[in-house]
Amino acid sequence: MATFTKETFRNQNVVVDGNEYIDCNFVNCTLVHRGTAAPDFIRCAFTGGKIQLEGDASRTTRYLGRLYAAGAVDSVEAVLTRMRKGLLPFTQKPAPCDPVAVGQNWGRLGAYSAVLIGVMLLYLFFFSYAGLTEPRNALDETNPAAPLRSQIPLELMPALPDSLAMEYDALRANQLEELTTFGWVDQEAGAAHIPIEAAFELLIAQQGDSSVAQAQGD
Amino acid sequence: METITNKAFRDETISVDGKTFAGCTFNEVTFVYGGGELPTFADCLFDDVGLQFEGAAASTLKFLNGLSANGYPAATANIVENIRNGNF
Repeated sequence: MATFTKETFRNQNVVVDGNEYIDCNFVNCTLVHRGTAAPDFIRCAFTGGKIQLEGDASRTTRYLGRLYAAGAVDSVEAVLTRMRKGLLPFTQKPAPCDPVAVGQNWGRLGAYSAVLIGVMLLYLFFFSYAGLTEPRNALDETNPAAPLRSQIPLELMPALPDSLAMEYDALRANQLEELTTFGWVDQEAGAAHIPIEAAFELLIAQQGDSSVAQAQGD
Repeated sequence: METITNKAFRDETISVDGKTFAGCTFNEVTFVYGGGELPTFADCLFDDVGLQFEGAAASTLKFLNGLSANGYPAATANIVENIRNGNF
């Protein structure tokens, strides 16, 4: 739709569909209308010239002609009379909905979806980056002896020796020594420890002696 | 194209685009024409028929109406005469 203001059209064909003419002069012009959209004339002046209807516009006058010829004279004359006085009322179909509102504008829908996905990726990147650079439970690499950065109070943590590994190794060594060597556990009580293999052999020998004695008794 | 034969229409609104009416009577009805395929009327009777226009048809009449309202009724005189005389 174009708007023309204070222009003079002279000796030419003017296709007027959908245009707006304000304070224009038409001199010996042929006004061509094709029925696509009605033009608006505001305070225009016309000298000479004629009207030419094409396409869908020409069908409208032919429709009125057919009705007139078929006998609906009064109906057609009522329209023509009001038309010549500029008094016709009009019934227009409502304008179609915005394509976005009915989900038909795929280009705009795609653009919105891309923006939404982009924002989601941005959030994902932000949290990933934050997790890599500022993890809540990361060790303080500048001070290996420092506790975790987590918010667990130190007094709630079990009291473990600082040299836990050394304590464990010493305990393990004592246990192995008791299992592999001869020695007193409590000399006054007559309790001693012997290697476990020697204990097995002694036990088997004792059971063998008791079996022989039982057989001889039988 | 739909053909309607020997039917009496009364007090209703009829979309006429592309239809053929033969031997029909129309009483207190409104024809709606959208500027599409022309309807055909053969041996029909009309009584108190109103005309309503939509789409391209409404655009065309609005164009002609606008010219008349702007002081240019002479331009439509030829069209009116053609409608009355069936010169198309």
